[in-house]
Amino acid sequence: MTDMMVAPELEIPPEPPPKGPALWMRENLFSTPASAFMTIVASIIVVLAYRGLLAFVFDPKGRWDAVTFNMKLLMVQAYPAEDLWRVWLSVGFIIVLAAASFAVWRIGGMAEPRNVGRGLMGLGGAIVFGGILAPFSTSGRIIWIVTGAVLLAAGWAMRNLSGERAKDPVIPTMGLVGVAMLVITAVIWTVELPWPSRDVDGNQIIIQEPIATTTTIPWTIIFILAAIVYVIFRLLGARSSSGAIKGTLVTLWLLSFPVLLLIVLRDPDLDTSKVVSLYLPVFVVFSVVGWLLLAFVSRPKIGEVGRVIGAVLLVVAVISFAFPMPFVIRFLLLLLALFALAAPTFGGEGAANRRYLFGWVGTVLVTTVAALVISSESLIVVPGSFFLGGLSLTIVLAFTSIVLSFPLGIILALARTSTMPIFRLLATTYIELVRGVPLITWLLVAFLMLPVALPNGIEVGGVMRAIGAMTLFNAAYLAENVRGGLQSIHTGQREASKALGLSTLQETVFITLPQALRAVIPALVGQVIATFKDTSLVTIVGLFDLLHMARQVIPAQSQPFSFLGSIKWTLVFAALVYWVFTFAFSRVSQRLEKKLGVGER
Amino acid sequence: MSDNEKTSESDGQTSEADGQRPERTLGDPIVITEDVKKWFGDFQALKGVTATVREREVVVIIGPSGSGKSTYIRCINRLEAHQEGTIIVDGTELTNDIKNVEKIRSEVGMVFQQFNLFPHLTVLDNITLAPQWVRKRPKAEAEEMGMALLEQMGIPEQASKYPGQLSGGQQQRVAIARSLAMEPRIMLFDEPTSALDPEMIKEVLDVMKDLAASGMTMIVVTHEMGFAKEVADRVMFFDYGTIVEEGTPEHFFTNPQHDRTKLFLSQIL
Repeated sequence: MTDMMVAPELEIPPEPPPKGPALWMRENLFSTPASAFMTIVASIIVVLAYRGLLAFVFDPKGRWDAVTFNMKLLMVQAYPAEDLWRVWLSVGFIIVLAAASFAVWRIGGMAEPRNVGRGLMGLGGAIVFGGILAPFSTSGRIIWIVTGAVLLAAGWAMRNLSGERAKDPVIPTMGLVGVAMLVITAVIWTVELPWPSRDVDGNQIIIQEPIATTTTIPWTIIFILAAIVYVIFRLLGARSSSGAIKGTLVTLWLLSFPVLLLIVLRDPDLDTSKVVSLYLPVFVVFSVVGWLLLAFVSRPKIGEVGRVIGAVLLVVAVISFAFPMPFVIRFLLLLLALFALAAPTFGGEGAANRRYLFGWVGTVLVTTVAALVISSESLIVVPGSFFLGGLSLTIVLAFTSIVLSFPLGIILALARTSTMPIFRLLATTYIELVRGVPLITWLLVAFLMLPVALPNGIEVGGVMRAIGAMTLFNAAYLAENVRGGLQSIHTGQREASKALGLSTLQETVFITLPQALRAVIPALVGQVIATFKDTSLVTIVGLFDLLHMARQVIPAQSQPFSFLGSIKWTLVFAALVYWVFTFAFSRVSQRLEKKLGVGER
Repeated sequence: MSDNEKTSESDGQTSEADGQRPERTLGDPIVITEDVKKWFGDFQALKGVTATVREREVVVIIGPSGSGKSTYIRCINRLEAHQEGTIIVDGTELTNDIKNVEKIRSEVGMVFQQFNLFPHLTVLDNITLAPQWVRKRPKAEAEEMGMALLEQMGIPEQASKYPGQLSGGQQQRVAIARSLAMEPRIMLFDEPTSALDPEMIKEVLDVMKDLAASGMTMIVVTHEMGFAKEVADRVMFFDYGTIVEEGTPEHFFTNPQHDRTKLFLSQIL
């Protein structure tokens, strides 16, 4: 009984943990002599690097005027000036649609004041240091240091003055975005950027000019419209989350890329006689015949006859490629065959069947319109084979090849893991062959050998060849990523699906693929990022993408201004543009992973 | 009450009512397996299994691991394919013909040891997926049936949760509801409570007891002897790929005949 210990007060009030910047620095930066040494070395390297960067960016002899003068070239190459409104319309449409979507899907939660404060302090600190290290004039230095100090103070205030409330998520992230847009608008109206000019003697000099109003006005209008649309949709509250509005937005997103690209930007010259003589009858015939056929095939008691009809259609569609006929008819035959084969699984009775048939009619409509528009001549007069160049071409190439390679990659992955040996063999051969050769080689093959290999009468433009080569290339890599995901699914899932009576197609679409794709989102996004940057390879085959403009076109110019030797600055700008896009992709990927619960059970 | 009571002779025979088990009128034979043999490579898992299960009968299969009991019931809905012998389910013979397999699978529901719920769908979506896409029922009707089943299982409030948010016992009950949504005539259970914490075993067994009382034909592979004693019409003891002994629960647990049966029971009871 002598070794008993009696605990003191049960309710010892908790103390706040030891904190403070001095303690943090002591523990993390200077804990041991080796650590302190590395801290000092690293700090020196960081300071020198930052100073070097600022010296390069603000170099008085720098040729940033090559970038500012040629911005239109870098973005859309030689798009005619009187048609530039189309570009602004497209950009504005996408941004406003994004604003509406952010509002309806309630994207962007709340941020905590202490995190926002920390961000502000970081930004302020970087600006203060920048003001100290950069080669500015004294007045420039003062402006920078003062601005930085203000931000630093504001951030510090946010962190420390709100006490416990600093942890409450009360600052809407979209509000911060709005503030950023405001700041950007103010900056583009007031800042002066380098611009080439000539002095009285005719020598080329660099002057400081504000940004042209042809650029600032459209951006301001777009920002204002986006903000208004966002606020309107948020004010609608719960009504804005209705299925009708969401459905409309999704449809707009799906149609946006093809419509903006093929109709708005390309301005096709529609020949009404062709519409009446070919496309309208094709649309009507395929819609009606297809409707009747699919209604017949999706009847539940149809059994074997349905599959036979689908197979026959497939054979007919494939054979049609050997005969001369408008491409749209061949393609519609192929689509009808696929719909017929999938009808027993996805069609059926009542409402589901009606949805399927309307889906068919919609598909015919979209295909006919697309074929009509693609086969019409573009009214945009531009040197070179494609009406877009620069960043816009990069986006078109990347987006189209990503969208097209996804279904192909999934099909390849399913084929490679199929139980039927022939599919496995074909898929494996394709994947290993395509992966064994660099993308540049495939691009050259597409450009040099494809015209020889295609049958007469089929002509494929340069950009189409590039897209084709990149699609086929990406599909092989995607297939392997998806296969990894497919193999990570427990066999129990397949057994449960089979026990419930789901067909193999239904099980793949509803059970296996959703889980597999979710598991490989990091790899898929990495693939998307790589594809976006791989578009720069088309410079080898003579397409005018962003890198081509930056590397070869601009530094070779001598009229009306000479930009020889400006390659360092144009390349840095191109690198910055690529970085902005890929950083956006990886942020989207992180959000997607968090939302879908990747990595959690 | 005689020993070696086998209840598979004439039609319409009433099951033994012994005060614990409710009376149930057994129907015609609905699952007939004759001399079924199955190999996995060189290893023979089933060495000629002959058994008949009648409609509304509850058969419990016990035995050591590796004895072929899971393989046997997985052969009934073609998750495994038997190489020799015949299996006839509800009048349809189980062959390689995919039509017969699909027809049989729509009559036979299965509940797995690992639940095998679809983690990316809500509980209600798990239940209504197959009725919508296999039986082509409209969504509203399928959801109504799904909610009724969840009420029967005692967990209607979980309908919009994801399987990962449920406890093991709740997940297994959802799995049972999912199988019942296809309105099967026969339910197979492959060790349904073996992966559950002891507190949750009772809730699942209660659901299974209610199911048996409502007249469902059930073939259950389990180690829960209490369940067998209370609910089973017949118990089969599997060992080394064959049925060593079968009989009513009374016969089985009070007077087993075969040496292997006696050894097994002495180890688990």
